[in-house]
Amino acid sequence: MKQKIDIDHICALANLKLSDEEKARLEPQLAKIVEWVNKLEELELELTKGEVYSPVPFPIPLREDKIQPSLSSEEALANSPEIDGKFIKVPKVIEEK
Amino acid sequence: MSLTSLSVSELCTLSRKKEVKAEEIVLSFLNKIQEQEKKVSAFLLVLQEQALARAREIDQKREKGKLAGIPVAIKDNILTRGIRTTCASRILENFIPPYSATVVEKLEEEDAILIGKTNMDEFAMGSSTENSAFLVTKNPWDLRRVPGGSSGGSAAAVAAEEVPASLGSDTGGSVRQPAAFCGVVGLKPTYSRVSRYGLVAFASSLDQIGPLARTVEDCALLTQVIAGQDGKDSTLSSLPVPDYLKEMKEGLKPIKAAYLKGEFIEDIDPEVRQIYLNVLGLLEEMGAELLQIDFPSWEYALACYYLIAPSEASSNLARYDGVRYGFRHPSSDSLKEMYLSTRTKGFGQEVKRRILLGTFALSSGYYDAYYLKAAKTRRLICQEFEQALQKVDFVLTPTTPEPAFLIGAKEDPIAMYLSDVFTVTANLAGIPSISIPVGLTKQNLPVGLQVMANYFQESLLFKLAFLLEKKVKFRKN
Repeated sequence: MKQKIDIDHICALANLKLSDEEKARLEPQLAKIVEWVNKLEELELELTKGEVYSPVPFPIPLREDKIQPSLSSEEALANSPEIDGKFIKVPKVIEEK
Repeated sequence: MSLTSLSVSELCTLSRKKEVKAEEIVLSFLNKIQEQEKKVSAFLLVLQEQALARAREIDQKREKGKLAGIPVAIKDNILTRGIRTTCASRILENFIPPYSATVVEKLEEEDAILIGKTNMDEFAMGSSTENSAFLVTKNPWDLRRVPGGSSGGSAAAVAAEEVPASLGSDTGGSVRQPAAFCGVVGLKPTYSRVSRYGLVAFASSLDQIGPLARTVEDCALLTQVIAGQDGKDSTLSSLPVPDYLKEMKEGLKPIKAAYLKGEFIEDIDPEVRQIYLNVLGLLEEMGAELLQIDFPSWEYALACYYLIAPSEASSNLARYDGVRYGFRHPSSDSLKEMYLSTRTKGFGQEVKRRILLGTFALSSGYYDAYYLKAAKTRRLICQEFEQALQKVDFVLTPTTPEPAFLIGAKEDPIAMYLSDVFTVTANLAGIPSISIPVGLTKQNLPVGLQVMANYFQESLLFKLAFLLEKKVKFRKN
């Protein structure tokens, strides 16, 4: 199956904005990679049993839900590009009419 | 004999006998780093003052840890409290972690010394370390060639004797492939054996942290230290961590091992194939029973991996938006504009390529055909391993289809992805896998053997690798 990739749609979903030059380079590369992974279509997978999403075929334990020490807000905010007191500052969210 | 050519266990013995101080060890390696870095460029950051200060502290201690005074290099996607951790990405260029990864804490509890942060492919996406936003690391065996990736800095630093051991991370071969290219030993532990708390997430169902060192014994020693529960990684197993060093030396009962069939091996580099076949012959001489086992799904493993890993990456990397940490593009009028320009400017080409591929595979209308199909294929690969490992103790392959390639040789992304053809299967199945150096090509480039075993059978891997290491005599001193 030859797959057409709508690169603008995928970029919008991924929050990326590519230049025309980048798009021209990446679009055929992606199409080629997708064509390559289409190899999986040859596989008859109806018979596959077991939990599809678990990374390992054994149960993974959960720890007890106990409160433990965590980072102070100063430490947690120390890497923020812009803060105001205990808040992170970002450009305006609400669009003006 | 210089201190830098010694293994971790040799250095530990000297240190225990009080024949050498931690400060002397650290100074030797710092000098070696200064000499080698001009050529190799394995490090993004060297912690000269800090490492020396810590060595002096350790020299004063009465009760010392298992790794007292041993310098260890850490891949730059493993968080080190107060020490810049960049993932070799512009988007984390100035990130100072407020906490350390569990593996780093465990190393420090045993008095190992952090000597620096190593270069890597950006966000561990790559097989050559050329995708770093900052440096191109060279292979110490031939400076025109790549060290492999994505833990290329960690492997090159060990090979160049800049450190006796290092940590890397392995999502599709990122510890084993550079270990093979640089002629060192590298382990990917069983999924859920080593905590990923503080490892920057790439593909969470595949990522594992693993050690790189010049000997199998050193790898066992480091695994011993970093494995086990911490209450912070929900995927960790509650199985006790065995005494790897003790079990490694207990010797091996007659073994059965599976090797790969014709077509897989036919297309690879002829010298790599010959060295692989020679090792199989050596194993037979040692009394191993070799069985040819067919893994029909392996043909699909790479395609499966290159859907699952980018899908998970596209989700994991959504957090880099310029809000809470990392780079923020300065000239943005709206929040949406800030997300877009921060991510577009902050990520490199390969990272963008994988985010887009993953976003596509997860997007509405394509999910069933791509991501779900890959998840099912993954189950098939697991089942084939489970069946094979009922009949044999090990599965043996070359680690890589060719020795270290020239810098700039693989511009086509798929050509680069093919470098992982033998290693991705262990990540998809979650089983442990080790790469050990077993020979040199005519051009003096190292070749690795990959040994895989059943879940939590690291001891068994170390046993066989330890025996083979003695037979092969790769390490000169």
